[in-house]
Amino acid sequence: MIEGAITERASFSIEARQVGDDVVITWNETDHSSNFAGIEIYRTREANDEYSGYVIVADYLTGAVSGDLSSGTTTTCTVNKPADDSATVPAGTSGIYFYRVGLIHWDEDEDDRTAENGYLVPWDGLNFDTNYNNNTDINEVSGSAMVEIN
Amino acid sequence: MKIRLNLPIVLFTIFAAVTPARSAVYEASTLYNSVSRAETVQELYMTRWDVLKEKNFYFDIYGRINWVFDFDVNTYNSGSGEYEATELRLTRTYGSMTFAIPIGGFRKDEEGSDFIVALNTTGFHYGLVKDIEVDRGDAGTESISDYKHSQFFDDIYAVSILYRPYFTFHGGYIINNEYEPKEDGTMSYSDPVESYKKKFFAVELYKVMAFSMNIDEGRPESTKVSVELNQGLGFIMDTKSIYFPAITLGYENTAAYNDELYDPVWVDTYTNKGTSAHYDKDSARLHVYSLKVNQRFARSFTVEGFLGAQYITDEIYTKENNPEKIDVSKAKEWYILLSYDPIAKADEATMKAYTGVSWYWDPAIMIHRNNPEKGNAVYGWIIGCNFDIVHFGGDMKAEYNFSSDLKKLVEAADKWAVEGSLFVRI
Repeated sequence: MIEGAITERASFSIEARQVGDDVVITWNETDHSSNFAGIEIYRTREANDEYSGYVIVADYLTGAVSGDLSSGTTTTCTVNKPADDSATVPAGTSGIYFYRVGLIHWDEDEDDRTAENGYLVPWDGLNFDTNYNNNTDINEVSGSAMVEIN
Repeated sequence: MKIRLNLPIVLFTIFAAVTPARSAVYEASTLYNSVSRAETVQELYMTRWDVLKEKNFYFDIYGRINWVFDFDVNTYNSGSGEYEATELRLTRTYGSMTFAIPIGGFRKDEEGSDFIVALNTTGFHYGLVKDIEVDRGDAGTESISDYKHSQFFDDIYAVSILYRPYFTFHGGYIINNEYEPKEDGTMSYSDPVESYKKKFFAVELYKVMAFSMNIDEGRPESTKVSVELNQGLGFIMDTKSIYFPAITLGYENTAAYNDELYDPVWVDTYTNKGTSAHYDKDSARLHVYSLKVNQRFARSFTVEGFLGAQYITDEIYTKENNPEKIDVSKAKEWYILLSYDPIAKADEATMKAYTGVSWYWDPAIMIHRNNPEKGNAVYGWIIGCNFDIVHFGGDMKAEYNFSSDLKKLVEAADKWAVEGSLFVRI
């Protein structure tokens, strides 16, 4: 319980499969918190290595091929396969990759998203992207789902 | 009492796949030993009661977290389809909650008497986790921790009766559960892959003699006796001077080696053992005889020395490809602790800072240390402090190969460990 409170652990399961040039990811977890900020999709950095670390391939700001990553009730989305996704590292063209879903929360309640707490004000509107990058964290993360990319 | 057992074939497969045992990279194996884990959680329970038994309190909640770093464990990589040496972190969390009911009120001072009934639940969790970085792009990098290998939960449910200062009784159940994480790193705590239920009891008389035992399937699994000589001598001479040494004699008897696949040694013979899922098993018991001396040499400083000798009832052999008889050391452990430990009454705030060195021998040391050629004995070091401001307190420490920690978990050999704890007591 103590360890779980201070580290981020996989708390829900997802499924992922390749469909054409895309990868379709589905899950059951929803997030109705007032601090919900968005959904992020991650995949392993390198092919055929479960422990190579994860890079982001889609989020609220960049969007996915399909699926609303700004809604906490979204339970499916489609992203490009590694050769075409937006990850900023060299992507493999084929091999085994692992995907995860992150549920992102604002660091403060809405009333506390102030300049004193490190936000550009107003916290939304034109400042939303900057504040999202500077003041959000992974609140829940899924377990990994393995996909063999052709 | 063993509730369910479906692990041997899995363990045998792992064991057969990865030999020899002497390697800096090893299987997560000794963690599977419920005998030593039951003993450990019982010792932690008794250690907490050593603090509480002189306090007047109704409720105590205590939490401790301990990390041991740099575990290279053969771990399956689903991406490559192979077992690989993977750096994991061992996390141990310990918590206890105690409700105390004084019948007729608490005693007024340490010389008085009172009668207390207490209920306690204690839990100890061991788990190996893999830290993985998640690059969130412009939002920075975060770390997530995936469960790898089995997670172990050892729980105590106990009732205590204290008739201070004459008599103390603790009794209850120790429950060992093992859970395996799913392939995706998530955990389900509803269905343990293995579960044991054991009984234990502990008594203390006049603060002079303590006796404890845990029992599995009607047979004693481990037994401990200790006698505080200065308390006994107090009946015939004045031992109340703060400079009178506190001398404790101890004896432990444990069913330590049972020819299980996760044990570090074979007992009596290695012939035909471990070559199939089912084989004849022998057992050896470990006897440890100890002497502890705690001497105050100034109003604020103490030195504590401990010396333990051992006897293993049967011959033991390594589990290497070419097994060898192990030359068992007569010495098991020694340590010296120097403490800044100002005198305080039982219900006053206290603080303590300490450092010390140790030596420890165990046949599993060479399996888990960085260089197996250095043998089964290691020197250790510890530094730490604790504080107790009556209703709140805690401690922190860092250690490397210190004997008391290796006794709890020999896998910690040649690894740094850090630990912190907090408590609230009302």
